[in-house]
Amino acid sequence: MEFFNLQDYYTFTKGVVYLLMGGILVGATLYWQFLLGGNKKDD
Amino acid sequence: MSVDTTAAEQKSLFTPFNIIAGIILVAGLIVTVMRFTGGLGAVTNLDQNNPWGIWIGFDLMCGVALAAGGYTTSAACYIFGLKKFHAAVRPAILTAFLGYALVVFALAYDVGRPWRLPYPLFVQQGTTSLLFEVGLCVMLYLTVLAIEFSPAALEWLGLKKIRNVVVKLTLALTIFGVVLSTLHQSSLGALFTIAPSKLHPLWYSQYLPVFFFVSSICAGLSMVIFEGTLSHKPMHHMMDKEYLDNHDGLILGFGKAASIVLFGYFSIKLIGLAYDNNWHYLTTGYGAWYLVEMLGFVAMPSFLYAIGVRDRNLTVIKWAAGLTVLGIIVNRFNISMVAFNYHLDSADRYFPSWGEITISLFVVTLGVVIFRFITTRMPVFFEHPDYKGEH
Repeated sequence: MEFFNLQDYYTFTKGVVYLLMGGILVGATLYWQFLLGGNKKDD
Repeated sequence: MSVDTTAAEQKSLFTPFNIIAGIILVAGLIVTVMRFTGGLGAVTNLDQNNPWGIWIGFDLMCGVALAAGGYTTSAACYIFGLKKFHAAVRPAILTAFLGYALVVFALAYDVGRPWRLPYPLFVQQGTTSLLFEVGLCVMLYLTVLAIEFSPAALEWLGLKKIRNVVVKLTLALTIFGVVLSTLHQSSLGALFTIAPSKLHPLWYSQYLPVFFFVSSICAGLSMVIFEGTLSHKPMHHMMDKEYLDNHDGLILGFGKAASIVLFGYFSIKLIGLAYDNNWHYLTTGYGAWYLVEMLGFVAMPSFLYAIGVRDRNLTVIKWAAGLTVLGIIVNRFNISMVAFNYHLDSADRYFPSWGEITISLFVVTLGVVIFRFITTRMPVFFEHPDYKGEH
């Protein structure tokens, strides 16, 4: 990816961060479900 | 006391632990004399390029992070109301108190002139310096920890009235402790934001204060499990029923918390990487080492914790705790030494001398010996019979 000005740079990096944030939100929910699953005896 | 008992006591002095600890302490004392008579140059490999070595990278950075068990456990018990973790509060507070006390002790080796330690706070304040903030917070938090732990000492000494007054301050001290820890844990990370050209871009981030604070929570939770596991066998005779009954629940609860906090830490590190667009560094040698740190010492323990909690497998959780503790040490080493001054020629890079390693071992051994001395005498792993159920 080539950047010609700061606007380009921030559009790219912020875009990636927003995509990651979306992925992390979904990932954290799934991970939480995974963590709380399994053998629940006396929790 | 019979002659047999006296003989057994004399014999018990020469245990493998005592012999190894004794050798390290004697070696440490010799290097201490060399350091304070011959200066830094006599025992360290520090120079103008590398003014901070393992006395800062290990004794201070790792010491403060690994002492975070005090504020995480007391916050869980007294602020979040998880009273089932009450039995773990005193061991965690004691570990934190000794950890911080030894941080200050080790700092005296690095800065020298220990009698001038109060100067930056009381004589000539550098209020614009992050180190001033760290110094102030560590001094205040060490005082808070001393007061938080004092009920155990006061119960041991039989000073009921003072003990009852101090116990009433518990909630206020816990809140104070959490605030101070948040401030200085993050400030230690902020210290490195003033050297953006010296720290490798994979480790440098404007979010370093956040990374340091969040990783300290992982360190604190893991250290409580790790230290509890190490203490379990040698200190078993000092643990009461409440401690032993709640031990497995504590490991499961802290393991669950550590798993999700490590997941969060991994996520924010990923965001830091994306925000600075540092992806291309991942294919370099430093990138490989960064991936070892992130995948081997953050993602893997998080997953191991999750597996351990799901299967209620305490052994896996204990291994995950050990891996996390090691991971925090690797992270602090990377930031303060491995990735610091990365642009210098290998001949100018820092590697600790035997004198520095001896002092670091001396400080850790001193901590273990004092911890053992206190826990075999004061009500730390058990409740004093006169104050049972007072929480």
